[in-house]
Amino acid sequence: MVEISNLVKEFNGFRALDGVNMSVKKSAIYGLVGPNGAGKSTLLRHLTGIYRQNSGTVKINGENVYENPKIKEKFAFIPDDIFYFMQADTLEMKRFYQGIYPKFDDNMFRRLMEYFPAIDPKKSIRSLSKGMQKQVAFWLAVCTRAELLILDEPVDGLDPVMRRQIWSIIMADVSEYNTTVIVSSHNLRELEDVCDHVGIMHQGKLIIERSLTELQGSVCKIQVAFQSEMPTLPEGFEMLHMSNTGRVYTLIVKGNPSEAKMQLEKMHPMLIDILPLTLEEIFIYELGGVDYEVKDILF
Amino acid sequence: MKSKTSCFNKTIFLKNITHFWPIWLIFTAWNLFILPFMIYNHSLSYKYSSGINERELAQMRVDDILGIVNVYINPIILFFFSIIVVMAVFSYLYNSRAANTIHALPVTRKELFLTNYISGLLFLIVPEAIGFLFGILVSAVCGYTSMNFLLTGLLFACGISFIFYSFTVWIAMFTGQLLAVPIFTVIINFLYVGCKALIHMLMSIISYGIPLDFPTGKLDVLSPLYYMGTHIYVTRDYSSEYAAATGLKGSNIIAAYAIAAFAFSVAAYFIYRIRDVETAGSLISIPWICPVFRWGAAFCGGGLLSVLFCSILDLSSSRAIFFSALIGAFLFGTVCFFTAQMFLEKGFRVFKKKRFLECGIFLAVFMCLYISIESDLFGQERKMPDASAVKSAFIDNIGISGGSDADTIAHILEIHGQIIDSKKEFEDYSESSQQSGYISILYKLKNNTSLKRSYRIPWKEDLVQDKDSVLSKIIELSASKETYRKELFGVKKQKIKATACQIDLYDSEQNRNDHIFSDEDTEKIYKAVLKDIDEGNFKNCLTNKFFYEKQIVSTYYNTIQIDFMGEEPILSVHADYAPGFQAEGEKSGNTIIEFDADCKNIIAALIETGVINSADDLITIEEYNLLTEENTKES
Repeated sequence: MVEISNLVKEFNGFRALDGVNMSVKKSAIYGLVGPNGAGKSTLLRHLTGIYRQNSGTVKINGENVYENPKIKEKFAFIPDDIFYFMQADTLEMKRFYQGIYPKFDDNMFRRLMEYFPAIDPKKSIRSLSKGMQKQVAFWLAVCTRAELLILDEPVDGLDPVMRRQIWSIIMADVSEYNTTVIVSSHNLRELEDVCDHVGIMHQGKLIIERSLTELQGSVCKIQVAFQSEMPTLPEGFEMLHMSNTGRVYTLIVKGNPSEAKMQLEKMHPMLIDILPLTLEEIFIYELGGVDYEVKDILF
Repeated sequence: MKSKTSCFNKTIFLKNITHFWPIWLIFTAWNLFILPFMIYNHSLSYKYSSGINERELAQMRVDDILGIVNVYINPIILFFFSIIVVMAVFSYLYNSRAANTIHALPVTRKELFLTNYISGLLFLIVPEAIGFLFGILVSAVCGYTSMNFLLTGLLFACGISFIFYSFTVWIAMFTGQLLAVPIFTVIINFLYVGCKALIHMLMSIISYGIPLDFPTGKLDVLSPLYYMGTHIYVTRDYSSEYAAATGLKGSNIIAAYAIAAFAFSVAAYFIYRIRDVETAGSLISIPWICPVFRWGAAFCGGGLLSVLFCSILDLSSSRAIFFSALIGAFLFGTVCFFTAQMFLEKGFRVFKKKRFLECGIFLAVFMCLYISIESDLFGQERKMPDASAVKSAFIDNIGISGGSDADTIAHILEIHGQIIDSKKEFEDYSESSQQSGYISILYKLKNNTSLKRSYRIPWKEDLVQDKDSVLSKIIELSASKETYRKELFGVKKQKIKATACQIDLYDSEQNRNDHIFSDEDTEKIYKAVLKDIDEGNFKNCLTNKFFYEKQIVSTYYNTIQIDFMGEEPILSVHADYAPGFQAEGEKSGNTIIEFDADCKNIIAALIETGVINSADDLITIEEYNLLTEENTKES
């Protein structure tokens, strides 16, 4: 559904996006992760036709997004910093969205009202709390009946109950209408629960783009203990990280977990155990490989 | 639902109307106040007036309507509202959150621009039309018949609003900051005349003879607010006893500007198309404008501050003035250049090698401009018109002398040429702090432009004896019979009838007693004045004006005031001297005559009419001053 090819964007000589290639299939829930300043928001702003790229293409359903209202009708965007018209209330914004998005579902708007009990639709949105403003954005975005939801830090600032509420609405939308979702977030634990595909950005590039299962199957954590010191590992054994507590070594290994286990078993360990890696761990270790790691700080 | 056409979005239009209602409501209220309310208010005054005939009443009503319409089409008010409207309808461009949200919506930039542009324009035109319609209604009820002026007023108001609105939209596309919109709009509206004034200021302090005031020119149209403010007005008929309003002038100007405004609107659309959304918050949203801004700010700011710098130093030597201006230009040009860059980068870290290099190039160009002015590269100092191109010429010193006859023009050109040739001598003379005075020379040219120069010339009594000195030649011109007749009764040669006359008399206690002459005596005094002019009896009195010490000894403190009427409108020499003045005015005039003991015809007429017994009843300035001193001491 979404195809981004060799996307480049520069701001006053600074290259914010450096040849990004990205592909999102229909009905996928695609998590876009990356450190601060990696270019996630910039990428999403290209995807929504806000920014004009220096080079490369951004296509949805095979058509360029920029200045293409037919394509823009198909998605709804919730940015990290939401804007509402001055003094506008939820009902007024609904009328505005109704006029802008041809498929806006008024019935769904009424139905969803019960999910947002704290919001008074006749109250100025700008007077609501940040979290409530975000809820209004979700409420309106879902009602546009968009085929693609583009969410930049969507649940940031929401309480745990409302976070769950929002995700459940999104998941229901995905299962009922095959909606595609592209979501950028730093909350990797949450993304892990909902995403089926993940793209990791770093310094304006998409360094990894895979399905979550594939990603989790390609990196693993192995705990291993030997009688004496850690023997020399065989050539081609791609290790991202190693730490030890006494004789017990914890290895983060890239590649097939079973094959890695077999190779280690040949060294006659006292114990060996394969543990699954969380998305957060994958993120940390993968970025550690590109010089973005947690530094030990001594004061 | 979305509009079927892709040029206009009904939802955004309605949003604009509902969100910016205070703006159009205030403008509507203003228009209702200016037209219907003011018309009604003026009409009330007729209820209680009596003794006015129908013709006079009709003219008074025309005056009323045109006076009101003049406020209704006031360019400054329309300019102000245009800026406010543009700031409102395009406000989303100046806030990154708003810009991102709006541009993520399924609408094209064309649709956004046109919808917002039309909304804003309607915010201006609809209130004007409402004011007009109610104005027509109230006019009809109150008995006004000259409603055609209201229609003309509506067309003028709509035209001016369209011009300012389109121009402001065009400017708004170049910036990413809301507050920069009004600031840039005001600056650009006065940029041409401002730069012209600045260059004249520079020339006036560096060059020889260039005055501080600058002439109007055809290119002043590049400053729309200034130009419209001075060229759109109510026309008046001066043939009657008072200046009756007849209509509105400036329709051609509005039409020409409206065509330009349309082009600005189209240009604004294309700029909007290439404008990057991420420039919201930046001072300049189009990258190639940044160097223009830097250089422009450095030129205007540096130039202005260098002039101020020179004024504060208050130097007398022309060389010292030039070098201080050059140093000021270097210092303040650099400061303004980097300050402009700080605004562009929104930070203080602008001192980079690349910028220093650019600043160096700017300063080199800037210095070259100063040097070229000082060395008279453009020939402004030596510029003198050809006699055949001059319509009239004047010298302004103690009074204004000049006219349109060939001899006067030749005389003034000769004086001017001599002053130019004496540049070094006169500058050295001024620097040596010797007695000097200022004169201005003005040429009104046949191509409707003017040329003005101002000089500081040696001004001493002994120079009067030297017939070749500039001062002597100026006095010869100023004290001539022709010059004085023009100064008293206007430059046009026509039959004048004195309508009233009075003289101020003083007793030994300095009590003033004004004597008003009868019609018969007025005529006698007027004739005596003319006779004294013809006999050249004013020459000493006029010559003494150049030297105060001599003037107070001989000139009477008593003055004669004559009111008179001409067959044609009176054109005073002062009005004729004003650059750009159009020869129209009232038929009546008045003049104050200073005289001395040489004016024997006036004195004889005063004795004949019984106002004085002898010349001793009159009092000189010196005598009056002495009396003042004595009376002060006594009290």
